[in-house]
Amino acid sequence: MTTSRSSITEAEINELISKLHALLPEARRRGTHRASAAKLLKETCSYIKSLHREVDDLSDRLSYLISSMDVTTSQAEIIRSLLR
Amino acid sequence: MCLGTSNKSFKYSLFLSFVNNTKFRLLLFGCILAMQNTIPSKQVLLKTFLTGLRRRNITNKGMTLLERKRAIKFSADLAMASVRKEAKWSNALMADLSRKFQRKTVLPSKHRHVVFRGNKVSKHKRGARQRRAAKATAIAKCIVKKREQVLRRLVPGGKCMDECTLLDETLDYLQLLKAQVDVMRSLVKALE
Repeated sequence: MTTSRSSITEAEINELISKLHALLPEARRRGTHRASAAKLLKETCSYIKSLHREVDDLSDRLSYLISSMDVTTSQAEIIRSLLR
Repeated sequence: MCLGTSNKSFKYSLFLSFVNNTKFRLLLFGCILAMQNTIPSKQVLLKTFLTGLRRRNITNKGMTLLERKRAIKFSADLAMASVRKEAKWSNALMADLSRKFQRKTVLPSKHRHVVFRGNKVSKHKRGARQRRAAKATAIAKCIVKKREQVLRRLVPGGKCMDECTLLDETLDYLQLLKAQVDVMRSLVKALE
């Protein structure tokens, strides 16, 4: 892993860019077919933001579900004993 | 549960067979079996996440919805950072979490050497490049720079990294973030 700016090769940056491109989900990938740096960064940022939003939403749902776990459901009992 | 329909009953009965033995580890194992497409780090994530939730006494009826949500998010972030102790984003996230809750039980960062190079270097670079490059290229670079700044805000610890490290860390952070979302989704499905 290079530490100084000047010795970072073009090839290394391209490799990182293609890896990033591969990580984005399919729907987003189509829009950035040429994988230009600007578009890729934009897609990455919006993807990270959407993931953050999803974590927020899932936390909301989990909070609600845990608070209202039905005693009789066997699945809920399993999860509850995991969490106790 | 997020199971394929063909082996749903098998997996579920296997899962239930662990209930009688109330050891925590075996129950976890059953829960992990029930998760589709598990990769090693997801299993570790789930285990750390659930342990964290237990520590925060998540089933306490006295908690408000908001308090519980905050505890869940905290445990999720902590689990994510624990799986990748070497990464810079991970240490930045740990430091952030410690600051938020000021608890000594949160694991301290392994190494705190942060590089405060960001602002100085980019100003100097922008000045030198705009003098030499054509206007179109300069504008394009400006756009990339702006987008890079946004990315730095999104990735923990991104403000103090150079370009190459930022991309590296983003890759790693994205992988873990996706895994965390998958783990939470499975948990939600299991409870619904």
